[in-house]
Amino acid sequence: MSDAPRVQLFVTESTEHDHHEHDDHHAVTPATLENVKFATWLYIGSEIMIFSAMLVAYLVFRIFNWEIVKEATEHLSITLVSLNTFILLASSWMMVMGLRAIQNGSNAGLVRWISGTVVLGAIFVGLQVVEYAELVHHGIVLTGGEGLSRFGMRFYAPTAFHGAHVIIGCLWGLWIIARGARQQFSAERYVSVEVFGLYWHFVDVVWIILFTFIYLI
Amino acid sequence: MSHDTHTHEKHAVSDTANVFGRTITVPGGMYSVVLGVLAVITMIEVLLSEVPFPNVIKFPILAALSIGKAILVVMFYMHLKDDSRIFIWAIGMPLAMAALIILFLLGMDPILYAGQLNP
Repeated sequence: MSDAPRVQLFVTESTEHDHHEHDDHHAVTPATLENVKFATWLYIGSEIMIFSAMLVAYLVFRIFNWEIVKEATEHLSITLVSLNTFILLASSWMMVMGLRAIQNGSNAGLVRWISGTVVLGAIFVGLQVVEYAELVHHGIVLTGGEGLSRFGMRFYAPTAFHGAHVIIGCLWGLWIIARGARQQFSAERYVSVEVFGLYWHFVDVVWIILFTFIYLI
Repeated sequence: MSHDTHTHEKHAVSDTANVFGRTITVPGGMYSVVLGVLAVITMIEVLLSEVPFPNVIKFPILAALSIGKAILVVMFYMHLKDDSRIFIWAIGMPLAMAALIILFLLGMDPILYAGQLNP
């Protein structure tokens, strides 16, 4: 495990900082940073499997029930969802700009950019609620085993699960903002921001896929 | 690993981006360029979805554009292109498994689905 720099992932470095590695108050060793990021990527891998199951359930239903899907998708507002897609893309950009700000040592910049990320995330969720209200009005609901409600189950599962991830991301972002406001990050200590960024960008990637495969195709 | 960290910092402070051999300067550097590309591809996708092409033509094009956008985010915003290769395995293995499962399920005879057996 020590023959190459890449494999330092699993090396435990015994330093006085290890006891505080989770809260960024002390400098994080490179091995610790890599471990945290690796754990985050593994978590993302597990999320990929969950979203894939939901997406394939939708696609299989679509193939064998195309009349129902055709009727249901006529009620989907592509304009509204496209706007939401641009909002989420912009939020990802703000996220990475926030990371860049703290890498340059600016807690004020971090707070400003992450605030923008959270606001855009909240707008995304708000517009999704508007979309859902419209769909329910047209009879696309979760319960019931006939007609459009059969579509509803397959549609709401991936999109609402994604929406829940955005809500969790917004709450996480607020926590990052609070810590940034208390100057708890610096150009050398920003692992929490980086991990939050990985999560937020993953949520963005999931939406990129859902947007195309559920709304456009 | 410290090399990786420095790579991030180099990107972080630079407002210049090398795009297809041309060096351009914009606030945010490569991050802003990527946002612009993502926005343009999304507009193309939306316009393409409205064109009355057969699905057999539209589907692969839209799918490719979508996957291209996802790769851009993963490589540039999630910094996977600068990070340890083991991270690629961490995400690549479940992706490969998910792709196999999707292909298997899409290729199954519909009679094998419970809903079809019990109409």
